[in-house]
This record gives sequence, structure tokens and C-alpha cells, in this order.
Amino acid sequence: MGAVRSETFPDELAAAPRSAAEPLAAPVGDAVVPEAEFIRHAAPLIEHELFRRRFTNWRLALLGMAGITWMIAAMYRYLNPAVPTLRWALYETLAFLVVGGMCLAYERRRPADLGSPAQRRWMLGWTLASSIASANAGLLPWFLPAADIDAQLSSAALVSILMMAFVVSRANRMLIYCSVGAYALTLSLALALHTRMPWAVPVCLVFTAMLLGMGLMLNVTLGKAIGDQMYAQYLHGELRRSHTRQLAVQQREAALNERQRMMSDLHDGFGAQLIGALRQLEGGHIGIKEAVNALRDCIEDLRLTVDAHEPAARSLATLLGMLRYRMQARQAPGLKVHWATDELPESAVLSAAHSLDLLRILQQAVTNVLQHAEAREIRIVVHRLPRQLEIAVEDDGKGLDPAVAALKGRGIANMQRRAARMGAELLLEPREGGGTALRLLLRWPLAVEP
Amino acid sequence: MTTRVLIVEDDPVFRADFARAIAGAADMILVGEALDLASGMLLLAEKPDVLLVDLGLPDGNGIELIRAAAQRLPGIEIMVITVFGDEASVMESLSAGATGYLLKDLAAADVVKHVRELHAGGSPISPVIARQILNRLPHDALHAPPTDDTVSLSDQETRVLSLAATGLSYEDIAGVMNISRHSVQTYVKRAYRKLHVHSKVQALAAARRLRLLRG
Repeated sequence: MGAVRSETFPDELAAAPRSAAEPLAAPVGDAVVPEAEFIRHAAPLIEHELFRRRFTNWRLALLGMAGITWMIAAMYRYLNPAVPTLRWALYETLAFLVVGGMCLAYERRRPADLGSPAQRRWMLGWTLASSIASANAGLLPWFLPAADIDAQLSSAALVSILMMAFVVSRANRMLIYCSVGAYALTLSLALALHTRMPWAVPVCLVFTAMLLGMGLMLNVTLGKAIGDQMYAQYLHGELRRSHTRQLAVQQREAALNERQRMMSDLHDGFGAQLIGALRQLEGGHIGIKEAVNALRDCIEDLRLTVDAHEPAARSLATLLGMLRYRMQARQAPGLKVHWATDELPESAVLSAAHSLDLLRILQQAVTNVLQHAEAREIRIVVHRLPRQLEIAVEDDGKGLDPAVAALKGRGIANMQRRAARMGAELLLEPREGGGTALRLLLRWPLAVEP
Repeated sequence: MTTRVLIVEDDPVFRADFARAIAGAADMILVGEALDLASGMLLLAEKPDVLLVDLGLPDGNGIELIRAAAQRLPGIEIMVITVFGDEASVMESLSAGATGYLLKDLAAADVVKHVRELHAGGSPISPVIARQILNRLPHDALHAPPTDDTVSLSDQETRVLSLAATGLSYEDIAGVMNISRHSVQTYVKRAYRKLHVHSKVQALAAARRLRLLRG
């Protein structure tokens, strides 16, 4: 008994849903497993699930057996009026009703998994009660004198303990068949002895065998269905997992790219500027006023980076608007800034990285004009062509001196690099009527990377 | 008539500079300086005309103060002190009832100028903020016909904001629309007020929905 109890299934059942939720994570690995192999690996799980479901059937079978034996007993008593029929009929009906009622009640509140201790207690209690009831209803009337209540009760207890042991034990298929078989054999022997009808024995056994056979077939079908269902679940989970993995990889890559661009930008722009200002201050080359200006430049630069990452400024129109707005606040004395902008649709958007590239190119262009061109006027033109968008920075300064251009080569190389990254073309050419024009040609409509 | 100014800011340098600049302005008087939310709330009793508030206060978010001030003192002008001027927090401040913002790196004298301008009806607006208001509030015939004109933008307001979103200055906008600079300022300020009302209406609707849900 102890050995049987130690293998009670409620613990296993409690574990079953957990392992079913994550079907076979270990043996599966990354590739998708074919169904046959999955079923082979999942056999213990399927068996488990099958048992969990059969457990319900098993209790229903118990009820059925109680009903059948009650019917036979009632008929037998009808044929033997000497026995106090009414008392037996009442007693057995009551037992039948109790078993049936509990069965129904349990089915109604049966949880998906029989997990919690309370649920397990309830299950054990119910099994005990139903076993006692069915044993009473079925077997006792034939073996004992109707008047001997004590003997009835003690043998009822014995039989019910045996049945309970079956029900709560690991109850592999063989054990269940044996118990049902033994029950059928006892019943048919009892019938044969008391009614003196030997033919009842084979009839009873044949019926039991048919029942078992049907149960077996049902079992196989159910097992196959459960296997299919688990495999479908596994495939579904695998699909979701691989999708999530892919998404995570993409997001990580995108974030990394974005971060790298931002870092290199901070390094080249903001960092370089701060260090430049620091050196000049340390060397005593500049006074308070220049230091303040240098710091303001740094803040402006930081604003530019922030603007480029502002989601609302993704649209090219708003982005250029921000540049124009920022330039207004810091207008150099003696330099007129003209904007000539074609209207751009709100739907024309750039990625954060390209926004920053564009702002940096334009910022560098304006800085070049301020530092080298000696211009009085600067024109920023945004012009829509059929297949291209032209953004130009034109000045009326002294024009492009090759020597100067070579000196500030690094700045121009930087602009070229950024333009190439945006898939744009950058041209630096003399302007008609003097001065320089920097033209940035973007494909139109804008090709936006997500 | 002097303008009563209250500043709530935990940065001592900015506060000191500002107090000095206000002391030098004949038309303004500093009615209080607070370095945290709690004392800022108490100082609202001074009934300032203009409130300058930093959002990141040591004991809480300045938005709460903005909300309280806008509710208790109708007609008060509230300026948020910000580093970049286009963060989401500025939008939230405007929704809570602020009517302007102040870039923190402005020279103290410029700050006083901006306070004066704001009190005279001139709210600054950046393209990003103009664009966000256009996105948030219902306007023009493209959208469904406005049902409640306290929260939908008029055609003129929409036009001003659209131009502001392209980076045009007030003068430029006035020139393009052939109206006075003052009118441009009025439209911008009205848009800010509508944003505030809009967010209040939405909050109310959300609360009502919640109550309905709870039965």
C-alpha cells in the first residue's frame, strides 16, 4: 500500500501542465522537430495528459459499473421476494445518487490542472466516497446475509480501500484493466453462484472484454489526438519564439546602429567642440566673451542633435523649420539669411540618423560661409524638382579658393561622407555672379529606411 | 502697473541672475523665489502675474505647479524653463496651462525681455511645438467639421501655426499673412489656451468613461 501511495499521481499531474506549456524545450534545440520525432520524445507527456483525461473517464466508468450492478441486484431481489426488497432498494438508490451527485459536482468544478493541495484533497475525498458507494451498491448484496450489517460495512471498507488504491495509484493501463477485469469476474461469479445461472459468467466476461476493447481503441485515438494537439502547440510556440528572437535581433541591431551613429556624432561634433574650447581657455588664448561663445556653440550643437532625434521633427518640413528657427536666434551681425523654400508635404520624412546628417551638412555649410567666404548674404534654397529635392546653401562671398578648399578639406570630406550615407549627391560649385553654392540633391520622393 | 513675478527654480545661479535682472527692471517686482514645489505652491498666494517654473524640482514635477496655478489664478502667464525648448515636457506644460517657455541659456537681461513680451501677449513658438499642436487639435476642412470651437483651431490660427512650423519668425508670419505682429502673437497664445482646454476636456472625457465603466 505504502509503495503504491508513494507513486500517487496528483504530484505528477501538478507537474504536467508546466511541462506541457513548454513542450520539450530541452531536446528540441533550434531546428523545428518533425512530428514523428516529437511524438517519440513527447511520449511520457502524452501518456500523462491521456491519463489526466482518462481519470475523468475512469470515475465515470465507476459510476456506470455501480449503476449496472445496482440494476442486476434490483432484478435479483425482485425475483427473490424473501429478501427485504424495499430497504435494499432505498439504500442502493441512495448510494447511487450520492456517487452520481459527487461525480457531477466534481466534473463541474474540475480545474484544468489538478494542481493545488486543496484540489488534490478534494479529489482524494471524492474517490474514497465514490469507491465506497459503488462497492456497496454493486457487490455486497450477493455475498452477505441481508441482516448482517457489521459484516457488510467491514467488507465495504475493504473493497473500497482496494479500489481507491487502484484509482490513486499510478494506475498504468494494465492496472486499470486488471481492476476492471477483477470487478467483472467477481460480479459474474456472484451472479452465477446466487442465481445458479452459470451462463452469466461468460456473458459478463464477454461484455467486459468488449468494454475494455472499446476503451483501448478510444485510448489510442485520444492519444493520437493529444499528440497532434501538442505538436501543433509546439509548432505555434516555436513560430512565436523564432519571431520574437528575430524581432529582438533586429531591434538590437537598429539600436546599436543608431547608438553608433550618435556616438560618432557626439565624438566628432560636440566632443571636439568642447575640447577645442577647453584647450583655448587653458592656453589663455581666449577671453570670457569668446569662451561664452564657444560654450553657446556647444549648446547649439547639442540642440541640433536633440532636434534630429525629435520624433515630431521627422518630417523634413519641420526639421528644416527647426534649423531656420535656431538660426534666427543666432543671427550673425552683418550677414543676411534668406530662405526660399518650396512647400514640402508633411509625409516627407527622414530617419533620425539621416535627419542628423542633413542638419550637420547644412550647419557645416553655413559655418564655412561664416568663417571663410566674407559674404554679406546667404541664401538657403529648398527646391522641388520632378525626381529630386535640391537643398542649396548659396553665398555672395569671395568664391571658392582652391587653397582654402584644400585646408578645410576635412569638413568637406565629412559632408561628402554624410551625403553618401543619405544616398544624396553633394556638389560644391561657384555661384553665378560670384560666391559659392553648395547643393545637396536628394532622391524625391524620399526613400526612408524604417 | 508693475508685473508681479514668481520664480520656482532649484538652480541657484539661474535664480540669482534672474532676481538681479528683475531688480533692475522698473516695471517688474519679484514677489517670491522658491526652490521646490511645496514652497512654490505656497507662494501662489502672492498672486503673481507671471510664473517662471522649472520642471525638474527636487520634490516633484513642476507640471503640478503649472496645473495648480492655471486653475487658481486665471489670467496668469506661465513660462517653463527648459534647456532645449522642444522636449515632450514642454508640450505637456503647455497642455497643463503654460503659455510660454524660456531657454535656460538665455542671458538674464534677455529673460526679463521675454517675460515682458509674454506679459504683453507674445508667446514664443518653435516649429516642433507648432507641428505638434497642429497634430493634436482638430482644425480646417480636411478634418471632420469641428463640433466644439473652444478646442478646434480657427483657420487663422491654423495658418499661423503652419507657418511657424516652417521656422518663420513672427515678423515673417505677419508679413506673409498681411496682419500685425501683435495679431500673430494673439493667435499663438490662443492656440496654447486651446491646447490647455483640449487636454482638460480630454481628461474629463476619460474620467467620465472611467466612471461609466465602473457603473
